[in-house]
Amino acid sequence: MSDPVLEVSGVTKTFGALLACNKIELDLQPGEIHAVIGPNGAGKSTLIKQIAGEQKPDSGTFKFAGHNIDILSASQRARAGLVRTFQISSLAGEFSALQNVMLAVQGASAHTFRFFKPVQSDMSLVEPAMEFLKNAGLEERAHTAASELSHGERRQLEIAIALAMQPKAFMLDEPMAGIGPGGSKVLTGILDQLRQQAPILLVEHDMDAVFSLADRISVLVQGRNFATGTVAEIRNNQAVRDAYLGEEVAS
Amino acid sequence: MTLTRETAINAVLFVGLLIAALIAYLLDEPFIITMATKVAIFSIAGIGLNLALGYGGLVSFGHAAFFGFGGYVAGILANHALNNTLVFSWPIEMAGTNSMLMIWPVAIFLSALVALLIGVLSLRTSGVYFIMITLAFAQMIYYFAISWPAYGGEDGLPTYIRNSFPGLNTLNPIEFFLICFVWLGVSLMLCSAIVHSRFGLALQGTRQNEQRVTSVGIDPFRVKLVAFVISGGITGLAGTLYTDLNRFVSPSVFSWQTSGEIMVFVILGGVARLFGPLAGAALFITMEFTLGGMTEHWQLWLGLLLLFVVLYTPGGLIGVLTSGRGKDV
Ligand SMILES: Nc1ncnc2c1ncn2[C@@H]1O[C@H](COP(=O)(O)OP(=O)(O)O)[C@@H](O)[C@H]1O
Ligand SMILES: [Mg+2]
Repeated sequence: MSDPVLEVSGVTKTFGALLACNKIELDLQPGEIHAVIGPNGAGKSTLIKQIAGEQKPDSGTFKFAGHNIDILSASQRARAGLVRTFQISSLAGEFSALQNVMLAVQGASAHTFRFFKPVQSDMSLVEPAMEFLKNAGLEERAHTAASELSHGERRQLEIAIALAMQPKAFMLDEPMAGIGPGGSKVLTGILDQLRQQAPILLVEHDMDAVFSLADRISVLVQGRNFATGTVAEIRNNQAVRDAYLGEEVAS
Repeated sequence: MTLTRETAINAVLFVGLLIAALIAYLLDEPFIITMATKVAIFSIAGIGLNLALGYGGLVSFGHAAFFGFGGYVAGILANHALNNTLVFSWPIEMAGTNSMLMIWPVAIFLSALVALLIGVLSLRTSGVYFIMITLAFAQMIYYFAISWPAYGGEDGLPTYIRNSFPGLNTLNPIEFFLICFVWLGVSLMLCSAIVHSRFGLALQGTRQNEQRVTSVGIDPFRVKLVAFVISGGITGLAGTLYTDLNRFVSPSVFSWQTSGEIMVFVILGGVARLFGPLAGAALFITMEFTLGGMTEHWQLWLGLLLLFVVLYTPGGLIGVLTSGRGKDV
């Protein structure tokens, strides 16, 4: 194996008496989709939030692209290319599609505190943003408010934004949640597209999607990384089947 | 910039204020000139708040702190100049001054500094908590101003004459109006530039969705803090001009009613509309003058109007005049 893009070592997080994450070890290799599965309350979202910098672990460290990122804030981690995406509610709704992507280009460029030059004519923002929109197939909708885009278009916009961040790794927390079987097929295709750009750490409930997309799977149970392995290994792991997969795989 | 209906209305408002003052000058009606001056000053205060409240979604109920701070800087410096005493003698000697050119930068800087302190302590909160914390800070300063005897305490601080500006007779109403009017123009241009800049994009993005802004690598706290500081500086400048208009400053500039009135200008005129505070302040002063002459309870009518605006016309007066069409921004 080559050097991992992301390394989670010994991460522990408690909420009062509750042990949400218990010495979690995990890594993300270049080019892979690494799925994290587990029952509700296993600590998956808590783990993602800590990697993203929204919550601080009690102990443990994160290494990203070879550097320790523990002291970086959430926005600094995003700027470094650790990109969280696919929360559909997470667009700036009043902004046009173009403005949404421009904001991402601006964030990635780290030049936000400029007060006088109008953004509309700032070609270092508009041109790349337009290019990302074009690649996402949203050129025609550039000037439509994000809130007026269809569900599918918003997802395309999310991709454009994610790519505009010059990502080195993606983190997705349940992207399939609440979008129905048709949508999840589309999204499966999109994830396949994103992985060309950067590896993906994917938290997901939809087992069909996980089994068809993932290169490796980690199973979290009660805050512990119960097992990590290839799809076949996890499917055939008796302990995992007992603990979590149960009927889902058998059927 | 295309010539939209909003742009036209903005121009009418801005030029209209100037023409009103000039006509009053020709007709020798200094009282009307003073009203126009008040409109200009209150507009500047509102432009400051609009940057935070309108564009940044930071509903500050404590902008009296900055308005008052600017006001007291002018009052205190002028007072020391009048009495020929030092403002402080350590670590360096600081004398009072009557020069607006000296007072303005000091007032803007100190108001912005107060905004920085209040912002650092309050911007981690949001919603009702933010409203209450900003109100609490302004009230703290208000009670401090009342109980601090050095500068008049509750009785306030008269400055007797207006501070001076090279080449102008600031006691002449129309000349003082022109100073305020130029500042109004500068504030509008500054606000417009900021709103349309990269920073403005980040600020308006932060208002809509902080998580999104964070996830594209921008720290929303810093964005809000910088906006709050600029906002405080602009509102502080308005307070300075207000002291000069009245040749007097009292703790009431720090009161929650002042914060409320600045908020009323913004909401009446149209939240996040560049010229909204001008429309709001003009309407407010006009109502105060016309209704205030008829009934002591004119503020009741103001309250009803405000209620109507909040419930039915989120774009405020500017929104009504442009018949709810999309914003310029
Ligand atoms: N902010 C919080 N405060 C207290 N408990 C929390 C908080 N966030 C999560 N938890 C608890 O931590 C556990 C793990 O939650 P979470 O990471 O959301 O699980 P998952 O995403 O795997 O379903 C749950 O028991 C949850 O109730
Ligand atoms: Mg979860």
